[in-house]
Amino acid sequence: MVSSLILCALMSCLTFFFCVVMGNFAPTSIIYAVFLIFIFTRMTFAERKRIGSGVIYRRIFQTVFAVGFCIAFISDLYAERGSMAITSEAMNNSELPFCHIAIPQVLLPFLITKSIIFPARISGAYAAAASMICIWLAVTLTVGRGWCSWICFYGGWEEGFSHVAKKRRLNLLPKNKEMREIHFGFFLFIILASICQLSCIYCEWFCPFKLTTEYFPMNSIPTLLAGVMFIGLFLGLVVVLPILTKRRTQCSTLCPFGAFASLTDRISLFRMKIDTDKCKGCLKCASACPFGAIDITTIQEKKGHPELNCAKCGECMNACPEKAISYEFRFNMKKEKCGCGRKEPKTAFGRVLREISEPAQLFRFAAFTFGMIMSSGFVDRSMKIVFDAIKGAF
Amino acid sequence: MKSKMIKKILTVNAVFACLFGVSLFFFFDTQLDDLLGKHLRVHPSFTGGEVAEDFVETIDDTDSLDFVRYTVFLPVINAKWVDNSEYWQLVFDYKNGSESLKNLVLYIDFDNIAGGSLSFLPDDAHVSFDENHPWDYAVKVSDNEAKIYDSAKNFICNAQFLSLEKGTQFKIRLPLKDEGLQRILGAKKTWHYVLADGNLQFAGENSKPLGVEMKIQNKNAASEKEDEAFISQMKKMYEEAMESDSGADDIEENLTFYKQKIDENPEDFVSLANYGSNLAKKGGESSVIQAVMLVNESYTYLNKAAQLSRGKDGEVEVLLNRASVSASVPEGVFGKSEVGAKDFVRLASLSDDAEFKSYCWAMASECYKKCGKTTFAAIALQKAKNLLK
Repeated sequence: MVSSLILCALMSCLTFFFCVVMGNFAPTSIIYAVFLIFIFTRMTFAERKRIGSGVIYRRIFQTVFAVGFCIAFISDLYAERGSMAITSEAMNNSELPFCHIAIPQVLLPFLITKSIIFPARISGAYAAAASMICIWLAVTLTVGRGWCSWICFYGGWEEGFSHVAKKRRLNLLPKNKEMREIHFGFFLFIILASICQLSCIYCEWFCPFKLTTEYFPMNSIPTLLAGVMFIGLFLGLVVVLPILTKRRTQCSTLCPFGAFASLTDRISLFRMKIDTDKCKGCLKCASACPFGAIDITTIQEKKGHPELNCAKCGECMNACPEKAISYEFRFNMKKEKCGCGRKEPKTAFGRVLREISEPAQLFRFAAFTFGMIMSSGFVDRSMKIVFDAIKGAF
Repeated sequence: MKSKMIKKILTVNAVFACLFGVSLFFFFDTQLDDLLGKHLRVHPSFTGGEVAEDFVETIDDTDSLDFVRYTVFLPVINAKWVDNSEYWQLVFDYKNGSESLKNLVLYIDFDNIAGGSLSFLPDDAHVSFDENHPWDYAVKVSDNEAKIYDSAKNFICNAQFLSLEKGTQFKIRLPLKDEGLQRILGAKKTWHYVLADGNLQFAGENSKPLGVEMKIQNKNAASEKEDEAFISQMKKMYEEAMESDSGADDIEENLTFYKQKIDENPEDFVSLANYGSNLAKKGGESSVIQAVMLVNESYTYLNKAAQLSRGKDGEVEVLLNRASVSASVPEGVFGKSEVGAKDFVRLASLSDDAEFKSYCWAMASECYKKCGKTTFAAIALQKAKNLLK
């Protein structure tokens, strides 16, 4: 109880600073800060009652972030350019916002050309390349692929759509392995194509989130084709399939950043652990996993952890009736399958320290801090835009 | 035993990284970005190619010249996401972008094309061409478009013309579709005549074209260091002058004193500025949260003071306060460098003291550099140096 209170108080302080103070005490920033503190507190206390039950607050947070980001971003584009289409001024002045999805596409070409193959600002500007690369490094070292399920402002769309329908209409569980192969195969293709073309091929041709951010003006056959492609991919992989399958299909089959984050996740602090002694093999976790990271074979072969593409969303923990799944420090994974060797603290202070240093608590805190800080600028601005629009309408 | 110890250390590190590390990372985000940004650059095919040469117009103290920089790039091949995959970029920077200077004609001689022309396009020019360098191609800029002509004055094609940075920068991209123009890819040297309203720009004497070696410009690290040293020297000189002028300052005492004066007269702009400046100083000595709050609050006073003092006697003191605060607060958090630069420029125009003017231009240069306006930074530094010559 005390540990949860401490974490909530610390998060409240951070939220106050990053949302309210940095937002210059604007009413919308205060409203958003209250919302964030509420979400984090509810999540922390829900997890105390029942492991995994806090995932609903993660879903709400990520969806709100995605929608808020989209509103703020598009309104900025309209204010600056008058449309969502990329202008030749922005392109020729290297002013395109650099997003995390471009990172894996620019890294290998960087080694060859010693330059970023994306027309973005390098530093000192909004969504500059250096800034996104720094954030990616910090995320990789801490929460790893947890980015996709907690922080990604695109993933929130799929998160939202995958919870629209109550029932799953299409079961992709038997196809998990094939989907993973498609994902990594496509990632390899994107990387090779980016090296050959010295251009971010995914951003140019495949990114479905151009529909929620910016796109090339469709004034030639190639740009028209790219337009058809991203609209189709958005409707198919971000809207329809997540509704039918209750899975994050774009994130688990197409997104190059997702595949890249899966590979670099090995250096992060956390990973999910499946206690094979407790596991009864009901496969509810496999069915609940939105990324298809738990297969029938994962359970049958008693691997003790989900597959490579686990995004640490915590949905499996919520689904597991035996509470056999938990967050664990990566450096604790190899040995000590059970906690039998661990000494119980004798003092209350020791117990509080033990609770605070629980991997699950720390992971949630770190992931939420990233999300809170990154979302604060966008969501409070989008709230202001919506309030102004409502005021204007009346 | 040893592995248990290592695990304990790792756990403590993980606790620190998750509870405080993430937020600390965002506190120092700007510094990290700048550090990384120094080692990164965008691929030349997106920016217009590598710079071959740039010419900066000598700026006199009367601020009369508007035309400030002409940059010649190396041709780009296999460019992505742009209209022409092969092009040659030429960039013009202006201080304000007055209309007369935007009507310009550019005559270019390639070293690998024999012959050429010594006569003008139908223009009223006040110069003559160097007989050794007859032009092969001309680019005529007017009404926001650029047209390319050959030496026989035949229209070849339109060049891509981009007006950027609120009309203070023109980018001209010559598409390399024409066979003759494609010879730029093999040229080792080119000569350029830049004529604005018939007058030759960027040249001391008439008829002398600007010679450009078509290879990557050697960036002179020594000159960059020299510039930084010059700015530091100006700051030091100014600080020394200020130390001799004023005694030791107690921020709290100052705040109480100026607050009292503001209460007595809410329109006392000098007190408002001093109060704001002291608030910012207090911020500099406080915790991060307080610092952000105090600096934001200080701008309420500084902006009000600047507004009230415009054209009045105490304007220099007021602007100096605001400019100094703007130059010292982190750009990534407050984004005040441009305000600071403009204040310093205004201060330079208000003073007659050459040393003070030079300090103001040097500081303006630093502020412009911080907010990414490199052309303005170069002009301001040039002015600062000229004033001390």
